[in-house]
Amino acid sequence: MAPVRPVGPGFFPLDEELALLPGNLSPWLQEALVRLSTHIPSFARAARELAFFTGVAVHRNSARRHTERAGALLVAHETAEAARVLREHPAPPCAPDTLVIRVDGAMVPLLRGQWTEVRTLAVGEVQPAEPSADGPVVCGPRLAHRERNGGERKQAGG
Amino acid sequence: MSGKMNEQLWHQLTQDVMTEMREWRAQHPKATLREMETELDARLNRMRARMLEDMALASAAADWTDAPAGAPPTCPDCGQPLQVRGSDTRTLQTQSGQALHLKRQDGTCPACGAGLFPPR
Repeated sequence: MAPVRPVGPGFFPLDEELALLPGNLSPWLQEALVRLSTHIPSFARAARELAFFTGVAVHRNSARRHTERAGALLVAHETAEAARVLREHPAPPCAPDTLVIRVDGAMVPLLRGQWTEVRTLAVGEVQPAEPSADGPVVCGPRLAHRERNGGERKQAGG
Repeated sequence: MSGKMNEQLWHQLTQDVMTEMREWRAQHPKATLREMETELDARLNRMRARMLEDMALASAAADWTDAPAGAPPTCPDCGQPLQVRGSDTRTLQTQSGQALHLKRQDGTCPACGAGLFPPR
């Protein structure tokens, strides 16, 4: 005999259309609760903050449940995405076989007698050797530079 | 859309908020801004909930009894048109604890049988 599916509530198309989530909070409130719970290291405090900002009282256990469910969904999504990447084997980005990398730093003067350190990273693509009368010659590599001064970055391609 | 949004209700809600706030301000000439914020938000949140409810229910997916052939929602598993089984009201909380009452039909798929999905 074929197994009988359990009888439960039918399908609510409006819930699907409105993208309602399980539970009795509106989707925006659930998102707010999960955000607070991820930023505040206490579900009880997150619930209190939600009550302050939205006027909605939830128990700390609800905060924990909603947050853990959202986290589980995120993990499931990321796992599925990782599996998809492995399955589809996207071609790696085109890159040369050999790169030359050099890092250096220098102090440069600023206004009012101040100095700052600028770090430079140069990445060069090695060109194939070309024959010449004196033997094979390797021409200068095509270079890309990245320079950093504190939080500021400058980038140039060669 | 099965139900249209109730424009008259929206006008009435807006009017009520304005009237109530005018009266409240007249009765509280020394009110602080903090008190004004609280009073206004309480009324706006009530209006917000009624408008949200009205907008949510203004959908063909809320009541498809009179949907023309081919228009009923379909089963996500097999694509068969769903059969109306009944209706149920779901209550959600929104800002300031206002309740949204969403009365909507549920259906079953004649091909897959009843109880398509676990209870919410």
